[in-house]
Amino acid sequence: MKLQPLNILFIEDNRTDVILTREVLNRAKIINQLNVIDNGEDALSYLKKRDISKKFIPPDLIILDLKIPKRDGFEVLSEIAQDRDLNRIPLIVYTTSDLTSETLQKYKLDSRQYVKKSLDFKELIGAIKFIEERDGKFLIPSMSASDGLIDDHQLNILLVEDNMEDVELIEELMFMEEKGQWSMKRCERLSEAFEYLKYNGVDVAILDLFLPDMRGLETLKKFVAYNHTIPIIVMTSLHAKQLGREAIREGAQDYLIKGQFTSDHFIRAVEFSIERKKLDQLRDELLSYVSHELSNPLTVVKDSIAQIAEGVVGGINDKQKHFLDISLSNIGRLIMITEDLLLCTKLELGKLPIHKELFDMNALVKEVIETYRASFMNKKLNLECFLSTQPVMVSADKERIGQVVTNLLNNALKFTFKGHVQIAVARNDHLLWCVVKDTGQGIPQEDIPKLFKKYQQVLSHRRKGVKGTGLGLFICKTLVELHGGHIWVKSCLGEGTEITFSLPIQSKEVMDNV
Amino acid sequence: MSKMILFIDDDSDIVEVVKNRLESYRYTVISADNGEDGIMMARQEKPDLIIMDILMPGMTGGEAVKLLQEDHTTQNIPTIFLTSLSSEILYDKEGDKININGRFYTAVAKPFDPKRLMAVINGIIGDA
Repeated sequence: MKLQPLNILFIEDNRTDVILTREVLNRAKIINQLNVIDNGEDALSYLKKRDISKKFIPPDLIILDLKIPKRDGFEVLSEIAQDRDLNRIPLIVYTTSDLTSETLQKYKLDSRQYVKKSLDFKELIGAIKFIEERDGKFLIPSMSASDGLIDDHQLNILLVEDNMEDVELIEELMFMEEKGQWSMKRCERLSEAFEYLKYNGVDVAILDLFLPDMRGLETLKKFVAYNHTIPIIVMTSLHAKQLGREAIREGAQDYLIKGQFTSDHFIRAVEFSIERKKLDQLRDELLSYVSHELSNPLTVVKDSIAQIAEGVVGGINDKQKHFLDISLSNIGRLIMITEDLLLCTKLELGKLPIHKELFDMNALVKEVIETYRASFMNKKLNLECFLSTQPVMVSADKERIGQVVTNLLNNALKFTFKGHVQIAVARNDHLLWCVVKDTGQGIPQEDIPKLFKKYQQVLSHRRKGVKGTGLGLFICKTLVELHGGHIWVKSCLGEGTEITFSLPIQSKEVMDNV
Repeated sequence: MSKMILFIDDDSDIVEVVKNRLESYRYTVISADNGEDGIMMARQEKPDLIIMDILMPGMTGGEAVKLLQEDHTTQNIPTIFLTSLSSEILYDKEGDKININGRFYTAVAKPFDPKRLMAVINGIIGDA
């Protein structure tokens, strides 16, 4: 015999109670179809629909809260009691009110059909089982035993949430889990969470994005910057679903929508985010391992070919030299890709230290330009440079900022086919700006928001025959932001692109050093 | 007599290529494929410069240089390191210097630009 789900009409206006009750039923392995109506009037008209609709299937069970809007539970009880068809449907009164035996008698209720709401749900399940035995009407379909959590050890959860209602809901969901599997630390503020993490390890963090000391995606970014090893589940409200998806792109492993998740969802999100984080870390380790393993063979190939091309191991003709030069430039690309991948990995793992030194930004830009002059000439593009005669001193990681300038210039070179590329440096008392402007193909408006995300180019330009990893701008953005600066883009399709980054000069430091 | 460089690396292909490159600049090159042999050769031959890989099976470059430092016959031999990218995780790297056992050594990252390697060598011991 195939078991049908138990069709339950739940007349209840309290959202939390609905979520918890659904959980309790699932946990008691009662397969159910829970139909929730949140007021007396609608519940009665639903039940009366049987008169006009042949399709109406009476519920197997009614669970009734007494404190419900429009027509209260007592009115619903009287109507049901007077109706010959409805009063045959098993019913449980599920309420916080105290009911006297007279009241129960009045509505022809067995005391076991009256369950007082509490956090201990055994009584509710007991009532359902009692009805099952008494009526022998329906079999309670049972679920198969559910799997436990991935690891046997107790899961330490950090909940960063300032809204007490949300906290209570999660605590109640967890309460229904077997004891000893969970432990939870709650923090109201981000700063409090960081303080806690100094001395404690956690398996997963559940992060509300709107806290007293930080709001929006910034909350997540700050958390990831503080500790990039903890799996994060972000909590968003129903009207901000989009935020959840953005959070995943910014490094969260999963998101839950407030008031929309059950304990099954919750557990799945926890398990999923832990597993997903493990995969992310494996990916990073793999990248790091692969780029290391590539470095020796690349060295060997590069220098062997270079030595032949240079004639170190004997004379070669022009055609042979030409092909060796092609090989060398492609090995150069391989090396750049490897370095970009490794740099990205390091940036994501927070393993890239910034070594600040005082240097002249103008001089750095000139240095980078020199290495590109020949490539621009080959492509018949003008490279114009606007630098002040005075040095622009800045305290930053020279190698990394050089990399940002190189990447921007490299992109301009790649995507510009006629006209010119301009580079300029400007400053005020606190900031310097470096602008790279080209007359290249431009970027479609809809692609601009994606521009600084990883691997973008791979996806959008692969077809157009432009070579690259698509990591360049992601690296630029991350490096500039590590220095406390910003990077932005203006572009017009067919006319060109202008990318600007700013860096704090840290004038006091600069002044002291000068 | 030309200046002698001891090259210690467990990758025999790298050893052969770099050796040829250095010899083309008229340096004399001897090599070892592990730290222990490298230390022995350093004691016997007293090279003008040691180029050492960091990550090698058995003794690492860091351990080898420590032993060379403790031996008064080898402690004054300048040493530079070839770092593959992941060895930066093991050691604290600052610019082109790497901190090993509290001392800063010049480091050249693999895959390296041969011209840069030659410039570094030239800067330390001059022409062959």
